Amino acid sequence: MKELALNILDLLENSAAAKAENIMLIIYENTDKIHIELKDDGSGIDGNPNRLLDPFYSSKNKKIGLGLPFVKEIVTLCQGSMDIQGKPGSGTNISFNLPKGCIDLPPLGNIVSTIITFITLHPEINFKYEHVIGEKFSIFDSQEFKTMLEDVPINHPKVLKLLESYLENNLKNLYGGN
Amino acid sequence: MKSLEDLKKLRDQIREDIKIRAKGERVKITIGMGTTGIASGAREVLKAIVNELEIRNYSDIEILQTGSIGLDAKEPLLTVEKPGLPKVTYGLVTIEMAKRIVVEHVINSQIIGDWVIRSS
Ligand SMILES: Nc1ncnc2c1ncn2[C@@H]1O[C@H](COP(=O)(O)OP(=O)(O)OP(=O)(O)O)[C@@H](O)[C@H]1O
Ligand SMILES: [Mg+2]
Repeated sequence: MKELALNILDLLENSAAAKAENIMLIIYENTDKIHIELKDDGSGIDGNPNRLLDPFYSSKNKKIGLGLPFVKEIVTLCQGSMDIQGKPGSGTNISFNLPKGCIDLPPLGNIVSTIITFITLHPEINFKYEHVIGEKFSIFDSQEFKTMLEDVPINHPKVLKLLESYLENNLKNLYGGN
Repeated sequence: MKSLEDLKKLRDQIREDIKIRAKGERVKITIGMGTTGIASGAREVLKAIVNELEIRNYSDIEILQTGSIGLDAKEPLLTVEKPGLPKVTYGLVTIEMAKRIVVEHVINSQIIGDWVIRSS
């Protein structure tokens, strides 16, 4: 994947496939590392979570699953760390830590586009996103928007456009701005 | 969005708009969002679709995702089901193609035959 944000989208789709109703994405950055964490309340993992890192494991109707092995590959190349937790019935928690100095580390990329895409495809899932950069942080909770929107769907094209500029603005402030 | 007021204003506008425009027939679009789809550009294709729908003020649509359907070499894949037309799947969809599919097929009911890789 060209961007970590695309790996994140892939992991979010895993959570949706596991029938999660609530998902939380946390991105924590400082000058020398990036930490990404995804928590969901989906079906969880039956057995040893680490076997999901094996490309020849997939519970879907096919022979290989590449989503998690792709993440594992970056973690290995960059000598970061990765942790998968999850039991049946208690959801799944996936986190990884990557050093920013690594030449094989893809850029975080367009995280806003990842979030908008996910909301477009899964409006019913309550999605929380927390992004911390040094001392600054921003929080987004799709449920707050849904409450405000009442009967109007959160994935109406016009709502998505507004959400996109809202999230882009938050991010701009986070990365310096003023 | 500068304030919550903007969101509420938009909400009320959309509500009025749906009353006037909605024809009741919804077009269903399905995009491949498995690992291969994502790696091949499905996110950008979806963004182009939503953007075009917004510009054309067209929202009688349901957008769904699917994992791999065994046509990985043709990702990004886009399936369009419009009432009264055959269900078709477009392959190797680019941003430019996505825009034309929205305008010609989704809105104007003209299937773009050259790009169809599967029809039923
Ligand atoms: N959040 C999650 N909750 C429950 N199970 C999960 C979760 N994420 C991954 N899994 C399990 O791990 C398997 C492997 O995931 P991975 O993303 O690597 O491949 P995949 O989703 O099967 O296929 P793809 O290549 O399209 O991503 C999945 O099939 C699923 O069984
Ligand atoms: Mg996957």
